[in-house]
Amino acid sequence: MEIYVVATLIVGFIAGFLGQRSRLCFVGGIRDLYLIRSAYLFKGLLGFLAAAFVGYAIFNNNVPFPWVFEKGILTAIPGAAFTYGIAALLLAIIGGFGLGFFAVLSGGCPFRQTVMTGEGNRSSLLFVIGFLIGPLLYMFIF
Amino acid sequence: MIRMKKMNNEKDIDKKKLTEKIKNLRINPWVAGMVIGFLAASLQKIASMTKPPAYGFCVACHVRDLTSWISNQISGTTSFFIAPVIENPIYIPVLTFIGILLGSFVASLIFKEFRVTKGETYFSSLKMFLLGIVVLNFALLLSACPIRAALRTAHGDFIALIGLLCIGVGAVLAAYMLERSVEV
Repeated sequence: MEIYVVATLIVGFIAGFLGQRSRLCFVGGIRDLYLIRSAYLFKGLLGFLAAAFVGYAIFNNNVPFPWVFEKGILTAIPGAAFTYGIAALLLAIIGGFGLGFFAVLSGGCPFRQTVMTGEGNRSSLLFVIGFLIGPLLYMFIF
Repeated sequence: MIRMKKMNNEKDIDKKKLTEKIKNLRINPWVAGMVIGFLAASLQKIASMTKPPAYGFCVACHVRDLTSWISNQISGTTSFFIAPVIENPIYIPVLTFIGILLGSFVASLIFKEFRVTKGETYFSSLKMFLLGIVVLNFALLLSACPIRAALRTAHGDFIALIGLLCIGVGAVLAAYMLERSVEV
């Protein structure tokens, strides 16, 4: 058994536990900020950004934002179909816009839907099943 | 005697209050976000997952890895893509998704919030299913769910910051449409 399997399982467990207790949702935070002028959930996003920033700075010999200083502004972290220049920027814009739009229509960001499935929500369960099948479509296209 | 009874009563009331307090115990999203953010940032160094930077915590990408692994097992090939988190060939994928499911399940059991909702109409079920597929495909285009977009931004990825802002724009547009109750 490799260590990363156990480590991700434990971190996922903690995140799920905290997410159930706090109803943390990033897209929901932005939606609430606009719809009901409540910054309660939006603080979760700010806290996440701050803590991750501090974490990366600590583990990278106190240099903040390691990626930008190493590779420059126009290189994205690998994972998407294009990782450099205008194509990567365009992908980020299309992907981000669609993600935000459809996540609000479905009632929460992917993390929140997964947590709600753990609570016993049936419509979230269907969302998650679509989630598990979705990558096959993506790999079929690319 | 009367005094003793009174004290017992008070104790009972205290116990009731305590259980109610535990039931209503909520964690501030601020705190939860900070804990998850720090864990996600430090996980890769601790578990020596080197390859893709800022890959500590992501719902969409880790679900992609899980699905790919299952598909590879079924088809008996290695044609489905799994992110190379370690140098050796990967036998077991990252299990964040299952961890989240288990964690929220256990939390809702402990705090007595677990209840299975009633079934919905076929149309809304189908809609949620299709929305799941669509959301995941957009997330894979960006190569990040909102959480990993924030993580990449904290790692210094400028393009992820653009993606995060676009998530905000899309969310606000959808909320505006919901407010005007435009049916999609």
